Amino acid sequence: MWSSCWTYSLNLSSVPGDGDSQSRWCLSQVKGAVDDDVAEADIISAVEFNHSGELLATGDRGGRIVIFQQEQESKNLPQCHAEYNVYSTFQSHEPEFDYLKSLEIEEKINKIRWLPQKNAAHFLLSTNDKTIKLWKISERDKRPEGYNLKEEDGRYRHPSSLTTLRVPVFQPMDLMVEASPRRVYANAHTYHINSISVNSDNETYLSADDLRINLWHLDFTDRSFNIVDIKPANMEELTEVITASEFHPLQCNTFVYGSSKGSVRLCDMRASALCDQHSKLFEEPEDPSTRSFFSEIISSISDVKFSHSGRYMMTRDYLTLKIWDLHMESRPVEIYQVHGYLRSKLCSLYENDCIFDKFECCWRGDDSEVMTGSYNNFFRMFDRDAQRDATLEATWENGSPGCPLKTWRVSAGSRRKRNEIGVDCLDFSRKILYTSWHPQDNIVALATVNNLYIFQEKLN
Amino acid sequence: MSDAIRNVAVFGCTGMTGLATSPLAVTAGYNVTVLVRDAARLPPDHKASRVVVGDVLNKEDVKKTLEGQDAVIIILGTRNDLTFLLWDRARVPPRLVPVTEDHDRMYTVLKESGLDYVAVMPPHIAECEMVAKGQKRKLHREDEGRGAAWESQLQSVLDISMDKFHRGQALVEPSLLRSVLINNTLRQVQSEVRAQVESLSAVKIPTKSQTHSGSEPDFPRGPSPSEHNAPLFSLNAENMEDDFMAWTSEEDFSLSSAISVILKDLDTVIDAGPCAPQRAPLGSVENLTGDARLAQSSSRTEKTSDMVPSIKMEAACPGCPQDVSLDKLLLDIDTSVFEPEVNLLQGLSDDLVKYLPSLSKSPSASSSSSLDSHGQATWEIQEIEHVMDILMRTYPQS
Repeated sequence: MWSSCWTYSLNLSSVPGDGDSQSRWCLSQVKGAVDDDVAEADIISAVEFNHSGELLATGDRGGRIVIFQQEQESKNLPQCHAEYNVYSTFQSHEPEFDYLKSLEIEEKINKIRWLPQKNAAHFLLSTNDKTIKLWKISERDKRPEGYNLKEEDGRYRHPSSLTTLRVPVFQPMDLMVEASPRRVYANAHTYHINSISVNSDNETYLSADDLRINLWHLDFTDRSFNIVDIKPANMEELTEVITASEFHPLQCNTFVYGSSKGSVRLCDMRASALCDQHSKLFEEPEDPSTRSFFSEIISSISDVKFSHSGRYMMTRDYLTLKIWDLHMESRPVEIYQVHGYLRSKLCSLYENDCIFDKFECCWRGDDSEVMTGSYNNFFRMFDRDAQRDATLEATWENGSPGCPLKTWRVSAGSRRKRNEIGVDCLDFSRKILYTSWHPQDNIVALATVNNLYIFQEKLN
Repeated sequence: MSDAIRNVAVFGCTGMTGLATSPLAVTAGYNVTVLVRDAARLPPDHKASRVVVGDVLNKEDVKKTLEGQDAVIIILGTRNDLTFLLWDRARVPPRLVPVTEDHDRMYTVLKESGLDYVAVMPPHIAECEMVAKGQKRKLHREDEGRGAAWESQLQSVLDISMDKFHRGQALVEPSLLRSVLINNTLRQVQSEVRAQVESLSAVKIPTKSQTHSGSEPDFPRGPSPSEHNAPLFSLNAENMEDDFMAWTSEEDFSLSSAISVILKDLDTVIDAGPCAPQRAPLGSVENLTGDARLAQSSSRTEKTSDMVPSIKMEAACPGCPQDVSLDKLLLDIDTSVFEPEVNLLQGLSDDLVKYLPSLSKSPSASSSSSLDSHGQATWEIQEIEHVMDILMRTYPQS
């Protein structure tokens, strides 16, 4: 299923640009099936770079994880395109059946989070709706040879046939990448897990479902500690659920969680054992002029990400990206309109369920830019310093491969011009929900429904 | 202007409605003849071509007025000493039955007269300006400028939300985030509908306790009067000072209980709007439960919907379904449909269902009422709610 069907090489000659309509980004690779007819199981549901950026993990609805590795040669040459090739593929989660409730648990991978690397092996956490697994991905390029009691072809030798003894030695072999499940953290969540986040102490992590957040120690699978519980005594009074959660990148006692009502709560685990009382509440007062029936739905936080510095936090709701300074709860310091032109279409988007789409967002390594996905296979880049934004399209139907992407504009109505498209022409079935930014370089990976796209920034 | 009609007689032209009507007739080009008891009460700039001084209770005066006339406009009334006429005779409080019967007799006379007539029977004519939807509005805008677009969006959001809600219920394990968001949207729609209904009832209640000079002695405490202008209680127009707060709890209990029954039925009447395609969401509730009783009640509500259009032709009255236990039926169905664990709409859905079709459009034709210039069901429903408003204001303890 996974094949690198299209690989574009970078055109190193500089291309004269129109200035505004050119961006610095160009398509590096597209992974996945060529045809539009993609099986449900192949739809990507998670994308995540590891802490060095060398590995890129994707999870799909079939419960599989595919890990891509950056080519060693191109890593050292900044001008070369980032080439990622398949490193390992394994089945992370299988569909399960909950006999008590008589319903099937989807194997779809909801989130992947890498652990910081401590030794030669790589570890990642992957989760579906109910179970989190810790996977070890290790390479094997040597194998022991020269056993006394076993032949090289596998046949056993009888001890009585031995005349001499030898010590087995390691001999090089073809590289083999193995993925093995080291821990399975199960049966701790009644509701669907939507987030996992590894703590900066590298020993614990949290998992959040709709109503509860649990704290785990990586070594122990038989116990987890509930740190947030917003389930009301009477479920009929439920009006708010947890939608996203993350640990602070530097402070191991701090985490945040976003809710369906558009508020983000920051909790300090030192304050109390159960963090139902937040330490900070980040909530922007509603603008009464834009109030509609859908105000609550579009304010629902779909993703929350701390900046790498730990000073800021970014939240994604349906129409905007908001950047918060952790010291100021009253309002965000920056608000970026992702696709404000959809505001007049909310009723239709409610009808076709698109209003419930949960978009992710990500920071650039130096926190100077942020990125998130949109519809029509568009994704949006916001330069915080220059206060510029760009709309780019993830498509392999480009004019010339390797060329810098043209930026798009979305206009009202149904016009379609060169690099301009009307709101009514947008394809809402093609959406980019999952994105990840390389922690050091300017490489972004994002998933459309069919494919994985990798873009790199042109440097000259 | 009709070619056949040139001369029009107006009876009651110095009344509140009359003062508005006569100038219009003149402007329309008719030759207006008026019968007044006191010519000084005519406005100084009146353009009536002929003024007859006399009394409408005097047959000769009336005949004199009618000489040479092609048509007659009767806007007689008792100003603010009014009664309240309800349509469904079974629901009329005993005290009001005689005057209702008398009105009926008058109407029968008119019908059997063989004359070509138009009868306009609005529940209430207010002093203030009417806006497009027939909603009362103070002289300065107080509402938020909601128009038909908002109404239609309200309706579509309601429909879509109910549809999604039921789909979610049909799933074994609906996404909790989705369920919560949809339920909250439904609650919001419901509160908007409630706010709309309440805004119709939000008329200032006069705090002064002084009563209209003429009406105090007429307030009956005993058996119902037989005269048509016996004031049983007063309607509160904007400029009214009549004190309906004079109605204390000493009021006849049968009357207030009858009114409260009417009020409860008004809720179900709102439910009984004429069937429109938007009623599909309610239909899915029926499908879910497969309950014959609900199917029965829906057919009952359809029967009521036939009665609703005729509200226009009578004095306003809520058509009441025969079986008031529709509420109870809906409550029963609620508990059976919803699981206890994810029963997020409990207590919400019965009210919600009541309000559900309140915004559906009526296919019924409009009558010639001036209030009905937009001929929509919203006017109709406004009328019903206005009735409710009047009843509630008059019987605040109900």
